[in-house]
Amino acid sequence: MFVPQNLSNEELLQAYLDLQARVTQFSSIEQELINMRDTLDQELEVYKRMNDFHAEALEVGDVPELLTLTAEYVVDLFECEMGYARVSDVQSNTLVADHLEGGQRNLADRHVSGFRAVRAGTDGATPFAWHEAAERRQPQSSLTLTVVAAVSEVRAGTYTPFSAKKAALFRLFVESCAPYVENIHATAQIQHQLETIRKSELEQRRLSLIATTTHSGVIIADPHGHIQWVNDAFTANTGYALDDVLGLKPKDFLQAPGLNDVETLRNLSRALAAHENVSVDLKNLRKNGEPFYIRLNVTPVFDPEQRLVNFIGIQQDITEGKVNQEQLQAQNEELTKINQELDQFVYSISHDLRAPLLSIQGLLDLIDLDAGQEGNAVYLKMIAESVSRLDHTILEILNYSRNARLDVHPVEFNFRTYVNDLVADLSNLRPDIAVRVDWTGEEVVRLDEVRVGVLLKNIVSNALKYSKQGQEGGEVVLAVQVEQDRCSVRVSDNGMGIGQEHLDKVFDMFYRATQRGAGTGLGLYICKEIVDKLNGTLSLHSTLGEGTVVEFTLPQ
Amino acid sequence: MLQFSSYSTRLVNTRRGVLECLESALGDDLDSASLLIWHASIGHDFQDLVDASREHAPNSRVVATSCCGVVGCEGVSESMKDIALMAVKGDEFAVASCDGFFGHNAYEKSIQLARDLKAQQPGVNMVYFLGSGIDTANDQAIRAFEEVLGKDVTIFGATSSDNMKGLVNYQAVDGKVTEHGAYAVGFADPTLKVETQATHGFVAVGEPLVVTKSTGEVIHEFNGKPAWEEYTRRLGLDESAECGDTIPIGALGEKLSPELAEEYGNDHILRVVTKHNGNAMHYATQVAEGTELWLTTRDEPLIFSEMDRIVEEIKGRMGGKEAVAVFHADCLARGRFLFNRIIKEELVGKMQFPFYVDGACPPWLGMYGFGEFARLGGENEYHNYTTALYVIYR
Repeated sequence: MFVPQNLSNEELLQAYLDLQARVTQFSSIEQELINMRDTLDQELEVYKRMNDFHAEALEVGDVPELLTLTAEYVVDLFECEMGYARVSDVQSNTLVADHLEGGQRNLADRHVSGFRAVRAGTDGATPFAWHEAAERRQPQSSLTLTVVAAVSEVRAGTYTPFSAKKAALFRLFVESCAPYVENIHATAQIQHQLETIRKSELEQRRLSLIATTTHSGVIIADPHGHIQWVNDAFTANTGYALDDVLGLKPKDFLQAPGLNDVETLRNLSRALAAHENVSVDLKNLRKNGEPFYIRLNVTPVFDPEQRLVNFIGIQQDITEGKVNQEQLQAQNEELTKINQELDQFVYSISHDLRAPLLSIQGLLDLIDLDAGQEGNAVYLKMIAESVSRLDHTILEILNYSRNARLDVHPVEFNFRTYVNDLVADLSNLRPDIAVRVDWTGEEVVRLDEVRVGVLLKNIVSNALKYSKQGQEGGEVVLAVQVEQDRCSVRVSDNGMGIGQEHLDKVFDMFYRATQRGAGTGLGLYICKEIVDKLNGTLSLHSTLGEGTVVEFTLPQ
Repeated sequence: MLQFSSYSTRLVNTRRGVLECLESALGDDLDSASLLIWHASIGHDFQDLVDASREHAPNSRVVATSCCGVVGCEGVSESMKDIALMAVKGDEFAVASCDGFFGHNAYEKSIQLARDLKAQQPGVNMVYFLGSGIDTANDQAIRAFEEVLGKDVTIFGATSSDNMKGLVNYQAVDGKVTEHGAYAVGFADPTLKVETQATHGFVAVGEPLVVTKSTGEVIHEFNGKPAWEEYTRRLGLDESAECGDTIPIGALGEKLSPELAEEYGNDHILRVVTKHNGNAMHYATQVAEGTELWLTTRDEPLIFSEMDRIVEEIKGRMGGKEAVAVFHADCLARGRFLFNRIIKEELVGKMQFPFYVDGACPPWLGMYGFGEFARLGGENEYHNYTTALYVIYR
């Protein structure tokens, strides 16, 4: 400022004050410039942070999250107390999404729709001092994004209302948000649809995977029981492919008369007719005729109206279990039989072995008491008979034991010579009886020689033992027939015969049809055991008073 | 032995901001600190802030204050949504607080605060004091603390603020939020020392405004004229001008004694004024009639050179020791309303870099507020328009 030299003191003072005023006023002008620069800085900052928003918005996966981000950026960028963002569908006039809880939403709704600003988070009594709202609807979309920046009266003093430029920036921001909303909403809808499809496909794949990979056979049938689909396991189990059985009922090709008990089949039919779940064990036939066992579970499938649409049958092959069960049952029966025989054996041993011993003991006592008397010879003969009987019993037991313990050992030998020798030996027991051998076929056989010897000796000795006396015409005939694969021997006598009431027990252990003679009751039992062991057959026909015919056939 | 850690961020959601600061400052154990000191911009909900703090760190004491922006190791931020934390571990501290803290009762309220601190920790050796920045008399607060705790106890801290509107500010202690409160944290760790210093870099211009009528810290008239009218006239503003218009350019300077001026690097200590009822105005301290107050202008080269000077002097007094924490109060008029972003960050860099330890900024909690405390002439003093650094070391 130019100050002339010739001023009075008053004029100089005034000039000084003017200068002073201009300096301080310059400060306010400078501050205005600083404020303008700050405003430009802030606008630049808004642009920069809008880029940050875009970067973050790209990472957002759903609309509410984007709206939360939008509202937070509104507060941060435009320095307002509250930001609110919502998406509505103008066609259906519904709220699609926002970022608020229920109570806040109600307040915000009042604000947005009626522009009656109410501060969210309070009791609703505090109105907004000002707000700025912007809406944006994407072309060809029914979605409208509404964004509001607001400040309550309580806090109004600390916030500056939007300038025209700031309001323009705000609208620009809202416009830039709208495409994200549209894209995310569309993406979410597509993802939802894809997810629905994926879940549906996944479910189908799972079911298909289960049906095709399970080891159980699966049958899908219509409400009338006609097969519509079977899985690979069904084909593997039964031998029937889908083409073989399409339209058939399972019972048409898996069942045969008498294969299952009537009650089981009736239960199955009754449950199917009543559209109820049912589980039964069945014996079926494979395509090759081989029987197999299944556990069948049938489930009816209903549509939403509860109409029957399908039966799903799942059949689990339980053949192995059934066979094992049968084997166990056979073993059980065998064990039961053995136990019964053991009981009988123990009883007989105690009786038959002890009886001769007691006889021997008694006879020996008599010998001691009557030493030197003539009766001793009688006693000694009786002792000899008891010992013989005991020896015979023990021999029989040994034969039984050997047959039970030892494996079958077939050897080739001349059966005719063997039979002749045996007959010759046994004829000594009853020299009065005529023994005849009728032979047909080969003489050499391949059999278990030891077992055949025991078998033949028992049968022939019985025939001799219970035959008529020689003078009465007693006769024993052995008819032997040797064929390629088997050997049959028929031994007949015309002796006392066996009563009808004994015939079904003559092969039981220690059973004696008569008390005549010195039999142990083991002979025919052992014969039966031997024939069974050799997979042959044994039969006895007898008529009391006429004689007996015993016949066995052995494979070779 | 007290330990410090800090973090600052800018987040719209107050609760998320609290959590982020706690996690960054304290790691996994959010409740490991015994004291949480928060500075947050006026846009945050302070009830949310303290509630979230107590939720995540239920065993910590919590103090908080509003401000116009924050400064941390992470840099400067002056938005409506800044938040900064200094977390303190250890037990050697006391916290006292009050509500209804105004200029007319600043002394009595401060006496009670000081007594509370002393009762809790007789060995308090420094006080971090933060009170409402509107209608206050901080010289009276200093007098009260010194009477109870002694003049050797350094009072550092600031006054709460809003975003330079001068309308509202918040203080919070544990679960309670106030608008005219104050709190004091007394540190009683005998291993700790604090160095404080403030600078403004403004120069007085023209003839002073003479206080011709005042009551306590309220000025009614300048030069026999209504105070606010005369003040705004001198600034070239309308009477309708608000604090936001006057504060950046309307710093008033009180002349210092030659000795203090030499230490201060300036002939004047500055005061902020805000509009009171009618044409009256609040002064930051009690002001006697006859006091001369000068309008001032900013001298940017001086601001930078003075910053270098006080940092060097603080470091000199630290005798080679390393800072364990730095509290920092800056006048809100020295932020975005004074410098552009680059210059502001350069200035903050000038105050932070010299205190780096092993290449890292020490825990740092700064704020832009209405006023600052720092020693001057060996005594506690209240300042305005300054940058005040409080460097704690052991």
